Amino acid sequence: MALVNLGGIEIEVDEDGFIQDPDKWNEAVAKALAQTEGIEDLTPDHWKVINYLRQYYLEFGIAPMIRKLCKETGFSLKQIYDLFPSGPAKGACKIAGLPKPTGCV
Amino acid sequence: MRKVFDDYRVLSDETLRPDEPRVEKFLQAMKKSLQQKDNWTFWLPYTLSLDTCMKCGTCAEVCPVYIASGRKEIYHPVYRSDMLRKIYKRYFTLPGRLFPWLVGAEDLTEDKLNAMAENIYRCTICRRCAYVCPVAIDNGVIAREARKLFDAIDIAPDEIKKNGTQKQIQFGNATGTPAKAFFDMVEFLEDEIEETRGYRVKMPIDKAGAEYLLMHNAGDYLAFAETVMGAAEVMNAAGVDWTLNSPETGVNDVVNYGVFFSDVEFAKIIKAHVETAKKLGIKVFVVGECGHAFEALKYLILRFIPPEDRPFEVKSILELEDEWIREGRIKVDPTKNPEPVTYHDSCKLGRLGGMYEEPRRILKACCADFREMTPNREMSICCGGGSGFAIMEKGDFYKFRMETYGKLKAEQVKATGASVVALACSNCKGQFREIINHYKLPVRFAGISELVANALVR
Repeated sequence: MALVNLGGIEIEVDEDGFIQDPDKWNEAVAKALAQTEGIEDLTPDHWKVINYLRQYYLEFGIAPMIRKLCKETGFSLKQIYDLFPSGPAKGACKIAGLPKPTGCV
Repeated sequence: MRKVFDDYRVLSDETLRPDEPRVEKFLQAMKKSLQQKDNWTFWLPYTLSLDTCMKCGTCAEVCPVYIASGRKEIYHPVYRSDMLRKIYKRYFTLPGRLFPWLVGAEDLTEDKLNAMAENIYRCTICRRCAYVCPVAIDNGVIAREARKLFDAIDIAPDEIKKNGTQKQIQFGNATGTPAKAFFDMVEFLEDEIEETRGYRVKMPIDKAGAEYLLMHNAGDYLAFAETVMGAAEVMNAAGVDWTLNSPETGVNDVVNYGVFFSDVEFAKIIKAHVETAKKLGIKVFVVGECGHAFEALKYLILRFIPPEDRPFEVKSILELEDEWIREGRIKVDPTKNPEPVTYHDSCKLGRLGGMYEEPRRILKACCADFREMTPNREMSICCGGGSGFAIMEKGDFYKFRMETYGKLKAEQVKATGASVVALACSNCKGQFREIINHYKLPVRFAGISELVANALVR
């Protein structure tokens, strides 16, 4: 674990750069996390994915199924990879402040 | 992270603790592993494999890592096994204790431990080498035993221990899916089937006394939902009394990462699987599309749980699909899958489990143009997702996976001209997802159950 400055606040992140305390997440943190993923600007399309992930996580305590993510945002998996080059789990979940997905995903 | 073996690091510094003294504890664990009564899994092939190796090099010529790396000595299967063999000879054989220089015995150092801890995670334990060894040495068993020794001194990748077996025991599944989320997922999948097929398939959950308990790799719901949907359609079409289960009735994830690195962790999970099945009172435990779970529940279980304590049968979903197609219990039309389809043998289902013909019979019945990869069956090349590799990506490991196993597999897939790769294991699916992206292959992968469901005639 390491303490890093993201969007002006000190946040603990794991070795893969996922924040440890989802409550500390805000838009500025998301923008800073996006930088670590090589995404310079978060467009409305990015936010659509991020907001859905976050909303689902807060309600259910886990990231949504990839199939459900695609359906609810209207993006194909390819479009999600275009938006988040590391993919929905490693890229989008990280920026949305979710913990790193575990298990065979 | 500093270099301890090659350009990659699977184990973080926090896990490996490279500067801590660990040699003594390691030797104690090894001493125990060499006693038959303390090593109930593979004591015999393990000790025989440590004792006997002619150094003929036959194994290296079939090892995907060795070949794809440009025959780097450090990835030679015997180089890896010898890391442990030298310790065995030095500390646990008489000639090695007296005349180490004569028998290739070497003192163990902390640096050597660091290097070995990493190198045993450069091999997926695909056991292609074991298949060709003229004296039946099993380098795969040696790698797994070495992983056990490291686990005994608390060194194991987070992905398969802290976030794997330990999380599974805590939450019922390694993904950490709570019951509420699980119910939401299943309902969504029922809606999806209805939308794509035009009919609704009930996916029963936690139904006590059902004949079949179908347990998937929990990751399949999140990442490979088409496999889960396909299997539900097949169970429904067969008209059998079946159920899925949620974390409310125990473990609801068929994985058992203990298979990869620890008998202790393996035992905890398999007991939880058995308890769950008994609690639900089911008759057949159906293993979803997962290679190592099949090894755990079909084979390793026999060495650990007495028959009277497991009052149910274990079957792979592939065995059922194959049976039901042949019996005519489910009807399939191959023209519904018109694209060229090839099949990749999962190492755990194939070389280890002997399940070569079931998937092929299924695919030939369900697909109009089935093509074999070359080589296949016993000589199939591991995709590089095996033994948990598919979910490991710390320390540039993704690059290792793509440039060794992944490279050979991509070439093999291209040569078939197929546009669909059929897979029967979640680790394979995870690895193929990356291979297809990395090498920009013009193919997609599909679970076997997905292809069967596509072909169903109702």
